[in-house]
Parts: sequence; C-alpha cells; structure tokens
Amino acid sequence: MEGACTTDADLPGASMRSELVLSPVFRKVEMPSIDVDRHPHRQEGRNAVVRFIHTSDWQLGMTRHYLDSDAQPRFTGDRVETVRRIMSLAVERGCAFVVVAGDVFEHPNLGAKDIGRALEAMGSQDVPLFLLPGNHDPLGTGSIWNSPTLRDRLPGNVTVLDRAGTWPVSPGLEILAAPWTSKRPDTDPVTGVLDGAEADGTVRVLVGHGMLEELEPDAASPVTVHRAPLDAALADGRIHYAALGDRHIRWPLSEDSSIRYSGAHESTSFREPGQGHVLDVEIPDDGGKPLVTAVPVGQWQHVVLRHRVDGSQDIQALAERLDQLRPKERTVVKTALAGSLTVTERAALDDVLETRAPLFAALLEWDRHTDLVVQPDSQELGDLDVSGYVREAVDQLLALSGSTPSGPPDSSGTAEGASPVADADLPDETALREAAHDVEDDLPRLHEPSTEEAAQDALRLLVRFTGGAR
Amino acid sequence: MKLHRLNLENFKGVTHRQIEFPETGVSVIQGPNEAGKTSTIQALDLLLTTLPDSKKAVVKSARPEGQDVPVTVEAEFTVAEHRVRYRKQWLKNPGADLEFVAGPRRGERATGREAHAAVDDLLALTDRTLWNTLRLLQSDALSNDFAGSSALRKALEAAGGEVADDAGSMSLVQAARAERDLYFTTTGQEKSDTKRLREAHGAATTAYRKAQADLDAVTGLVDDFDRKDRLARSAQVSHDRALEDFRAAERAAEEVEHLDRRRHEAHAASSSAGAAHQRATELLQERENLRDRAERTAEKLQELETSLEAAQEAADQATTSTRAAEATVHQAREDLDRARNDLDLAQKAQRRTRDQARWADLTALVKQLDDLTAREAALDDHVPARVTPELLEQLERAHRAADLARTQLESASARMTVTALGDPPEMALDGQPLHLSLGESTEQAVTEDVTLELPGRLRVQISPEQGLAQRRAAVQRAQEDVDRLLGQAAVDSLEAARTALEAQTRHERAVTEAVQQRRLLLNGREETRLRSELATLTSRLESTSASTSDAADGTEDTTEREDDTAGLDERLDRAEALAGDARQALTAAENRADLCRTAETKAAAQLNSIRTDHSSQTLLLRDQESQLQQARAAVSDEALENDQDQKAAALEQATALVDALEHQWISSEAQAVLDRMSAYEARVSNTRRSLERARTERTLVQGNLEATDRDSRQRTYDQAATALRQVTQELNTQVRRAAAAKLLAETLEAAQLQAHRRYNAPFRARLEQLGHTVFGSTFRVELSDDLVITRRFLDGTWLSVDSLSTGAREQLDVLVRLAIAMLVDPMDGVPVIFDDALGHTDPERLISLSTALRAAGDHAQVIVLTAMPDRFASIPGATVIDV
Repeated sequence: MEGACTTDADLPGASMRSELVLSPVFRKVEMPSIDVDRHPHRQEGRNAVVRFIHTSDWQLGMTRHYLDSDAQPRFTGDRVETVRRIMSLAVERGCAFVVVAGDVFEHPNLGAKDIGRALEAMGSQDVPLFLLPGNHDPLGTGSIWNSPTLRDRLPGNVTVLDRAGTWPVSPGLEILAAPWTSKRPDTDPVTGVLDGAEADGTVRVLVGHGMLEELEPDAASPVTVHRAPLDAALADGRIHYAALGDRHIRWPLSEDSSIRYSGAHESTSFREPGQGHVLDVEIPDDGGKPLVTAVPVGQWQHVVLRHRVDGSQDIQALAERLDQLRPKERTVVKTALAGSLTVTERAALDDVLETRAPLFAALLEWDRHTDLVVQPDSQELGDLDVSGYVREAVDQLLALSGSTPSGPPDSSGTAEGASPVADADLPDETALREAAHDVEDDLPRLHEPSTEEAAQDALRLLVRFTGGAR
Repeated sequence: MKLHRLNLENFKGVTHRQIEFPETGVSVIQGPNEAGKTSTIQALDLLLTTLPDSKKAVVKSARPEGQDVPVTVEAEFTVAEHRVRYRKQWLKNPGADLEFVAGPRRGERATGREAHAAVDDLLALTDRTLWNTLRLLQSDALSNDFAGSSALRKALEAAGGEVADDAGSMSLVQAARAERDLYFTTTGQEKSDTKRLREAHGAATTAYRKAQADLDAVTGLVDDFDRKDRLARSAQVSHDRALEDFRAAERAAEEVEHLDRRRHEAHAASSSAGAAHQRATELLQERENLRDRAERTAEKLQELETSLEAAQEAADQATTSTRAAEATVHQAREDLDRARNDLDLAQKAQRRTRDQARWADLTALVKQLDDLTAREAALDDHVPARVTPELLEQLERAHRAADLARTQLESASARMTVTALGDPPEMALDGQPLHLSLGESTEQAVTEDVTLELPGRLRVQISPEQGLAQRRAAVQRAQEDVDRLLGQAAVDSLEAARTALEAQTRHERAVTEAVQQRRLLLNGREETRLRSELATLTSRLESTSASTSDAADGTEDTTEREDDTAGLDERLDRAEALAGDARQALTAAENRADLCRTAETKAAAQLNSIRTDHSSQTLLLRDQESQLQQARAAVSDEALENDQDQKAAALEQATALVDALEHQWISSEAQAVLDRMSAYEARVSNTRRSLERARTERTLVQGNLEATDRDSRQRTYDQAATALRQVTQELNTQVRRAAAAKLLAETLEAAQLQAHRRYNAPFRARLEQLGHTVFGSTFRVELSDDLVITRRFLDGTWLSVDSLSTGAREQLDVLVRLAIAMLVDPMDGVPVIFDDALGHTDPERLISLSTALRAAGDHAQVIVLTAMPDRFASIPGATVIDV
C-alpha cells in the first residue's frame, strides 16, 4: 500500500498508513480495499494531476444513546481524533486537499466545546480542507455554518463550500460543489450544479451529498441523486470525479467507478460493519479513470453477533468470538442469539455476557432477534431431586416455557446450530437498516415478559434454589 | 423414638423415681395430684433440650424447694437404631453423660456439651414436630402442626401413594416465596424497588419527551426562521421588481409630462387668444350698438312729432263736443223742474180732498165713542153685590138645614107646661119673672135647664133629657152656617140676598152691552190712533185752508176743481207723464256730456304723454350723439374692425396648436402611462412595507433562535435518551425477575395445595376409623390442608370444631394423635403422651376411647398420666405405674 504514494515519492511519513490498521480483528473484518499497487489503471509513467482525500459523514457531535457515560465521551473524542488523523494522512500522502462530502456535523445544535475541538482537529495540518454542508448540517436558516463560534474560528486552511458552483482550488483544478442549502430540498441535490460546468480542460471534482437512485430504497424520495447526468458529465469531461457523501458505507467496493461514496470515517451504527475509511483519490493527467484507494482510519466498530447457541460449545464459541473483538472499548456489540439452552448453559451464557459486557463500549441484546429457550434437562431435573408437587410444578413450568418437559439430556449443542453467523459476511442492506433502526432510533420500550419467558426464568430460578446452576 | 426408662433425682417434688416403659402398648402412670406425674414429662424435656450448665429459670424451678441438691434426670431411649442411656445433672456438679448401649455405635460415650451435641444429632433424626404434637399436656399449649411432621408425611405418602412436603420441597416453596416477596407485597402489589424503577422510568420518559419537545421547538424555530427568511427574500425580489417597473414607468411618465406641459401651455395661449378676440369683438359690437341706438332714437323722435300734432287736434275736438253736451243738459234740467212743479200741485190738491172726507168720518166716530164712554162711566158707579148665585144657593140650603134642626130640637124635647091654677104667685122662669093668670098656661120645650122658681117657696129645675144637647148643637151649627153665609154675602137675610143678586145681574148685562158697542164702532182699530189721526187731519186741514186762502189767486183753478176727483186724477197723471219725459231727456243729456268729458280728458292725457316722450327722446338723442362722437374721437370704427380681424386670426392659430397637441396626447396614451406610474409607485410602497415587515419578522425569529440554548437542549435530550434507555433496561430486568419469581412461587404453591389435598385422604380415613369406635359409624371429619380438623359430622350434622363442646374437642384432639401414632412408621414414631386428658369425657365414652387407645398402643408407645385411675381402667393390657 505504500505504493499509493508513488506519485509523490518524497512524501514524509508515508509508511505510517499501515499503522492505521489498528488490530487483527479489523484486518479480518476489513472491507476489500483496492490495492493501489495492483490497480488495473495504475501504469508506469502515469502521473496524477491531482491527489486528494475524499471523506464524508463525519457527523461530529453525534451521540449514541446506548453508550454509557464512560463510552460516549470516548466515542465523541475519537471521532474528532480521527479527523486529526485524516489531516495527517493527507500530509503524508501528499494530497492537495481534503474534501468532506457533506454531514460534517451531526446537527446544528452543537455546543462551543464540540465545535471548538472539531475546528482544532481540522486546522491541525496545513492542508486545504473543503467542507460541504449536507443534510445534517445544511446551509440556510439556523445553520451551524452561521454559528459565530464556527464562523469566527474557522481555521485558515478550511473552506466551507457554502455556495453551489465552482470553487477554484489551484490553476486548472476546481471543485464543483453542491451543498445542501436547506433541510428539505425538493429535488436532486447534486446534479443541478452540472449545468454550469463545461468540458474546458479544467479538472473538476464534483462534491455532493445524497443517495444515488440505485442505493435509495425509497423510490419516491425527491432527493434521490440521478446517475445518468453524472455519468454523462464524467463521459464528456465536464467532471472527473464525483465525491459523494450520505451513505456511511463505502461504495462501490470493487467496481471501477468515478462515482464514489467514501463512507463515514467512523462507524456510527450497526449497519456499518467494520472500521471507517477515507478514499485516496488520484486523478491522472491522461484522462483515464481516477485511481481510488480506500484507507482505513476508523477506530470504532459496530458488530452484530448472530449466533445459534444450543449448548456449551456454542457458548464457548461465542465467548471466543467476543474475546477476539478488539479494541473492546471501541466496539459496540449487539447479540442476536437463538437456540435452546439448559438452565446451566443459560447461566453460563449469562456469565459469558456479563463478564464481557464491562469491557465493551456497549454489549447489547438485540431483543427482536433474541430467541433463547431455556429448559432444564433431565440431568438438572435429576439434580433437583424433586418429587411430588414440586415435580408437578416443574412440569407445568416446562409446559409454559414452550418446551417439552424433561427433554433428552443432550438436545443442545448440535453441530448445525453451533455455527455462528459469520458476522464478517456482508450484511444485506435491509438487515443493516433494520439493525440500525432497532437499537438506535426507537425509544426503548417497556417489555412485559411473555409467559414463556417468565416460565423459563422461573425454571432457572428453581434450579438456582436447588443449588444447580448458580 | 422409644422411651424405655426414666430416672428422676431431686426433680421438683420428686426425690427419686424410676419408671420403666414397655416397648409398646399403653402405660398408665397414675397417682394423686402433686405426685409429680407432669414433672416426669418435664424432666424428660429438660434432659433432651437443656445444657447441664444452664442457669435458666426452667432449670432453677426444677430444684426441690429449699434444697441445695443437684437435679438429675436419666433416660434410656432408642432413636432409629441407636439405643442410648443419657444422664444430665444440673446446678450442682452439672454434667451430661451419654452412652450408646445398643446399635451400631454401641459402647460410644460422650460427656458434657459433647454428649448434648450428640443427642441433638440423634434427635435430629426424630421428627421433632411429631414429638411436639403427639402430646396433650396440661401445661403446654396444644400444637397442631401435623403437616410439619415428616414422619406423618412419609406415612401419608406411603398410604396414599402421594408425595407430600419434604424438607426440600418446603424449603423450595419458602425460597420461592422469599424470592417473590422481594418483588411483591403480601397483597400482590409491586414492592418499592419496582415502584421506584417505574417512577424513575416515568420520570425519565417525561424528561425525555420534554427534552425532545424542547429540541423539536428549536427545529420549529429554525423552520420558522427558514420560512421567514424565504418570505423576506421573496419580498426583496418583489420589491426590486416593483422598483424596476416603477423606474421604467417614471421615465415614460417624464416624456408624457413634457407633452402635458406643452399641451397646457397651448391651452393657455389658445385661451388668451380667445379672450383677446372676444374683447375686440365686444368693442366692435359696442360701437355698432352705440350707432344703432342713436339712429333708432332719431327715428323715434320723428314719429313722436307726427303723433303730437294729431293728438292736439283730437283734444280740441273733444273740448268742443263737451261744451255742446253741457248746454243740452242745462236745458233738460230746466224742463224737468217745470214738470215737477206741475206734478206737485196736482198731488197737493188730491190729498186735501181725501183728508176732508176722512176728517168727517173720524169726527162722527169719535162722537159715538165719547157717548159710549159716558155711559160706561155711569155704569162704573155701581157697587157690585157680594152675592153670587152659588152663594145664594148655599145660603138657602143652610137656611133649610137650620129650620130642620130647630124643628127636630123642639119636637124631640120634653115639654113643660106651667098652668096657673089659682091666683098665680110671683114666679120666675129661668130667672125671668113669669106671670100667669088663672088658667093660663105656658108651654115650652125643655131643651135646656129650666128653672121655675116661686120665690121664697119653691124652685123647680127641669133638665132636658140626654140627646137634647146633640140636637141643640146641631141647631147651633146650622144657624152658624146661615150666619156665616149671610156674612159672606154681606146681607142680613136670605131675602136681601136674593134682591142683591138680581141687581148685580142687571148691571153686568149693561156693561156687556157697552163693551159690545165699542167693539162694533172701532171695528178692530185703536181708538187712540183714530183720535190721533183726527187731530193730524184737523191741523193739516187748518193749515191747508190757511195756505189756500193765502194763495187764493194761484189756486183758483184748484179750488174750483176740489171736488172734481176725476179731474184731479187726470191732471196728476198728465203731470207725472211730463215729469218722466223730462227726467229721461236729462239723463240722456248727462250721459252724453259724461262721454264727451271722458274723451276730452283722454285726448288731453294722450297729448301730454306724447309731449313728455318727445322731450325725453330729444334729450336722449342728444346724449347718444355726444357719446358716439366721443368714442369715435378715441378709436375710429375702422381701427376697431381691423383689430378684431387680427385677433380672430391669432385665435385660429392657437386653436390649431391645441388640437395638434391634444391629438398627440391621445395617441401617446399619456394618461395610461401616468396611471401606470402611479400604480407602480403604489406597488413599490406596498412591496417596501412588505419587505420591511418580513425583515422585522425574520429579525425577531432570528433573535429568538440565537437566544435559544440549542446545544444545551441537544445535550439535555441526549442525556435524557441515554437515561431513559438505561432505566428502561433496568425496569425490564426487574419486571422480568419479578414475573419469574411470582410464577415460580405461584406454581409451587398451587402444586403444593393440590398435593396436600391428595395426601390428606389416608389420614382422614384412619381418623374416621378410630372415630367410629368412639362416636359411632356416622362419624366423619373435614380436614384443612395442614391436617387440622375443621368440621365434624355426626348423626347427619356437620359442626364446626369451634362450636363443639370442650369434651368433644378434647376427644377429637386425642383421636387425632392416636390416628397419627397409628399411621407413622413405628421407627419414625414418638411416644403419645396424654397428661390428665379427657377430664371432660363421660365414663361411657372413656370406655370407647380405651379401645382406641389400646389400638394405638399396638403401634406406638402411649403414655397416659392421670390422677383418676378409674378413667383408664378399661384399657385392656395397659401397664399401670403408680407414682
């Protein structure tokens, strides 16, 4: 990956990039990135006209309500720290500028502290930084960009692209900016700016914010970004790269495309697996396609663990899976466990989760996708040494718990159920959306336990009273 | 547990006692009160429960009163397979000594606390609950905790095939209850922990919603600001457009205004040319007028002169005519005077003749009247009589009535006849001397007292009878009537009255005749007028005759014809006709003269008027000619005409310019342009106001927005959401745990209850079986879940235990314990002890109970303590121990 800097070989500290890959687990879950050295378009003798960092959706000042008072400040601080690192990366890679394709800030209600720290990080390197207002921080009335705290303290290297149209960067290089001018535009928020651009030899980077129609599940959304005008503008040389924001997941991952979403610099939800990246973009001088390299920069990750747990082996596997995740204090885990456990196994599972929970930024149970049945096995029932009416009570509770009373002792831990869902697999969009929605968006609800749950819990309690599990 | 032997040394009242108990069967320990039967049981309890070095009250009270001796109890008993001898000494040289005398641990010994602990361990093998419940002691409270007995449970389970509570089950139920009690109160309400969490959740929800609302309010403000900003921008655009339009309109308007100015100037010039022309025309006209007027005056003067001559002539003619008419009138008036004179004379002659004739008539009449008057005057001297025919008639009637009354008086009264029989003495009748001669008599009716007195000798008084007075009164009244009427008629008698009436009648007739004659003479005329007329005629005739004589010459003819009435009338007619003619002639002449005079006056007036006109017209002409002269001297007629022509040309030129400009004005739609400019100006003013308003509103909202603590609200919201999330999770966990604990406890309790109900059955069967021997075959009981009798059935009636008699309750208590003793495994059993029980039971029932006691004795040790040996004498095979 150091080859990424071949266009600017004397870039100091170019090797630092590899250190940004923070942990083995990140390596494991890292999205396939384009290896610049083996990039099909990279040819000897081709020089980049311009090289820059494309990033987006910093959403600084974001609060995750599932993070406790210990984790939230870390989350907030790290996200600013990553900005600082991006700025350093730009210097290291000899990039001409950094552009943030929208949603620099989470909302317009940021306090002076958050804004101040963000600006400090932005101004930490003397690299031009272009900030595009997006849907979270649109221009217009009440905009954060009008806040005196921000306006008056904007570092010298920072430019707010607060006007649609061209922004000269250097001779022959322009940014074509499509900022959000209001919270609720009623039309494609990006392609409108193409009208003013001509194929006059100027290298032009379109910077916009919005969801391409092929990525937008809501077909009726008025703010869908149309693909055709972008393709046309790229084809006739009016623009040379479209740096888009809004989508928190990098896209496309493998396709050779000049229209790109960099994804968020830090994972903000469970629909964004893996760590955040920025894109290192080189636009060659021969009119060829830009060379795009994804560089991981994020420290945080959101992990959904879908596991089937039907026995102690599965529990052990889950424990190992949890133990592998690093850094735990910057990892948010949501479990979606299903299976049938004995009381003892359930106690073991609880133990696994409870002992790990304090280590993670958050370890959450995904209620809607948790389907654990707990029933004492015959061994446990034997240990209970219950007879007479206690036996009857146990049978009743077993019946209520939705399982057959005193099932076979080794009903758990089958090979089929033991395999955990490979959370490194790419989740489909719907599942990701659902995952994000379930934990983040909803007001947490009061849950009255079902009869089955109560019966299972009662059985666990019974086992505990008899000195069985815990 | 089985008790084999018990030794007491110095225990309360007992100095030394040893009791051996048979393996099974009933032992009856009998002795009098205070013999220490109960102490025996107390001693056993003390041995099993109290440490030797204990100084508890129970130990101290065991020492015999006033003796400083050790209290010693020793027992030999079997628990499970261990038979032990166990001895304890308290107070003095306290100590314990345990020896296993049979069983697997035979030969083992222990002392002191070790021994006590070892026995505790042994006793743990026995059913302590059963130990406590299978005894009916005088002193102790009754324990009915049958359900707590594991031995009984086991026995019942064995008997009924059911599993009842064992220690494990019980402790599970208790643990489950305890767990539930962590979350719920006894009434099933959530406990304060959960409540607090719910409250915290409620508070967190409220806080979250408020924070959300506060945050939304910021969004609302931003939206509002956005809206206001858009409005302000749009207002600015509108204003700019309006301003632009206005300026264009203003430019167009300037051109139009220039045209308008020119138009107005042309209008002004035209108007002043018009005025000048007008003035010239007027001057010219004025001159012409002046000229025309003078000419007309001259013409008129000429006409007047002609008229003057004609009028003079007419006036003269009129004067002449008037003079002639006046002469005619004079002549006619003279003629008339003559005719009148003649007529007057004729009329005078005729009147004289008539007066004379009349005078003669009147004179004759007056003479007759005077005669008549004289006659009447004579008649007037007659004194009128007061007698009228009516009065006379009344008088005659009264006279007749008086006569009648007098006749009636006399005829009805007594009669007195005095006859002189001798030489009549001097007598007096009624005081009147009566002189009667011999033989003579006097008779009189006695109508009143009659006194006949012979003076000195005799007096006879005769009184009339009674009705005489009335008759006399009637006579009196009738006479009075006659007298009154005579008085009225002013006569003395009836005859005089008749004469007076005749004279009166004659006189009245003469008066009537005179009046009749006068009426005939006057014939409706008044006498005075006739006399006056006569006087008048007389004087007139006298004067006429005088005048006639004075004018004897002139009236010769008249006198001559005085008597010739016809001639007079003819003469008068003639004179009247002449006078009428003369009058007509005079009237005609006067009319003619009036007409002539009027015509004369008129002609004179006409002449005068024309003369006046003529002189004034002459003056006027002179004046007008002078004016004309002067005007011409100033400006000549020609100059005026020239000037007028010039002014007319100038006017025409100005009018043409005005027309041209007006045409230009119309074709330029100048008014529309100006109107447009005013409209645009108004629009600019409106848009400026709108813009200012919109800006003000935007500024206000912006101020609000800037003053809002947005970051603080966001922070509060984030914190509230995090807190809510956390408390929700805690509450969910709590609720879930509570639900589990509740479900477990309730499930266990329900199962336990069911089980209890099942295993009660064998106990009841055994109890009822025993009861049949005591109460008869109808005896049945109802048990609670914990094996306590709640109701008893006997002879068709269920009774609550509480309502049973003391004796019956006592018997049931005994039976329950016997039944238990028979049910439990002898190895698990404990001795059944009755201390002075059944004191309220009658002998017959005691015999029945003896059977039950003996039956129980087959299974267990039954120890009966009694002070009444007879009570239990009927128990077959009982071991009796006297103390």
